[in-house]
Amino acid sequence: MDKIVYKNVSKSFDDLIVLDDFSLNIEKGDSVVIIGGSGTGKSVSLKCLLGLLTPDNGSIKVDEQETVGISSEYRNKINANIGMLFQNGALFDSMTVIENVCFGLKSGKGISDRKSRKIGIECLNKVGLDKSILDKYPSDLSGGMRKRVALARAIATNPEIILFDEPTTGLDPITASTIDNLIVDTVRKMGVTTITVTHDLASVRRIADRVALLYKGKIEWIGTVQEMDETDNPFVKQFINGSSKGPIHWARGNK
Amino acid sequence: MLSIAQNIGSLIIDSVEVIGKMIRFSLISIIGILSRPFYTNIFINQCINIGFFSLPVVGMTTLFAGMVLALQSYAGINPNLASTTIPNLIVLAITRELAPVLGGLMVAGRIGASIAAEIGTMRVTEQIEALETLSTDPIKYLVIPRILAGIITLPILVLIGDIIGILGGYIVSISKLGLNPASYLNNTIEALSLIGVISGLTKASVFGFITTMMGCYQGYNSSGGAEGVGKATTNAVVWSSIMILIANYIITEMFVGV
Repeated sequence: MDKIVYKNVSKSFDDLIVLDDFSLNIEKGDSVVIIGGSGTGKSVSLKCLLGLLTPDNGSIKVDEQETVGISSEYRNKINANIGMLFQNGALFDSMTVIENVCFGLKSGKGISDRKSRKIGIECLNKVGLDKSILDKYPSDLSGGMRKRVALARAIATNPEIILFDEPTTGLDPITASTIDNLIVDTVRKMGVTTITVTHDLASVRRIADRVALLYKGKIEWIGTVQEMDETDNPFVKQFINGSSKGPIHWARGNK
Repeated sequence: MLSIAQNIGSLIIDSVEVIGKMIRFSLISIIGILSRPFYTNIFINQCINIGFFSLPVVGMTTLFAGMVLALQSYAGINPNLASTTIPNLIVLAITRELAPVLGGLMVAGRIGASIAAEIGTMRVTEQIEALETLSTDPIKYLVIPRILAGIITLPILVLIGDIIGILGGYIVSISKLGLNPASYLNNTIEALSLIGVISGLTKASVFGFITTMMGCYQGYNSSGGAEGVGKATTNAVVWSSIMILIANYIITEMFVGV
């Protein structure tokens, strides 16, 4: 059964078309990675799913339920089952690590302080962090640790779907690999459906069940990692090879 | 000629759009007050931040306003009438105008800027989006507690400012101008009117709403990184100051009833 279905989704900002008839089906438990250049609408597709942006046209269904144009109460219910790891972590800088991780449990799900703290510590353990950082503020942490805390916050509410927005951007290769492994381990243990947005091919090979190439607002190609390596699709080949020659031109407005 | 007309037209359209957005934002916030959840802890923290920590700046402003008013009014009146005229003037000016307006402007500078900077930073670092993904309505979590705290704490601040301002006038009148303390106090008490104090507190409440709403609106709608946050902060202070002065005239006219 499809867990998430994007159907003919379009989204523009003024005259700039970002998503254009974007369609994508994601099965339950699937780990889909959307690749594409910067500014091609990868993050926009995630934000539309979360209701942070409203598509101009089209439909986005989660568990066969429409999510476009729904009430804020219903949106909160849907988002309670979706975790999100933002590109820069988006940790609340006025809160400590444990307050950040427990926020969704307390504010979103109404779980008591003591119970949410226990769950928060468990989630931090899952991502390889111990109690010594509980009372630190995000500004006291390194980039890799902030990503881990953000991952702990994303999984704390035990969501059925987790979205990763460029989880390894700005990290050194070893930390990036650690974060990828954490994502894979966590996701497998939890059995959740994930969408990851990235242009880091090493990350793609570690995380993806299926890879989708986004170009000019549409999914240009979709397949497994092995198929990605073997395909003759000129768009995929150019992206993998990092070549400036080929059908892909990232400059915006190339219609 | 046509381009001038076009520019004026687009300026008017942009202004109407911004005003419409502000009104919409205010209405959403006011409606949000009526529904749950209400974040009591954040509300209390904001009351302390807006009310308690603004006390020194409002106190200093009204103290010196009262002191200067005593000196200035003494210079312009018959010295024989000073002990009746000066307390009257100080009470009237401080309770109805100076404490609420100067206090409001001071709080607009201190609180409007800090709210816009805080919420603006949260916006550009995706913290507001993170709130939404954690099933938390940012308007209820960030905006409503601040607006309510502004509406409630500013009248309290202004009431304290009234007392300090009148005290400032008293100190100068007695120690510097040599007026009789007993008759000065009697005249001060006689000059105090309920409607004067209420009009000042009403103004303070409205100014509290304007300052916090403008800070939240500008911060919430900021974009473009650090520069955008800086712009939001400036706009919050400038626009809340202008709106305070306009609202002051409207409320004064309502109370004076001319």
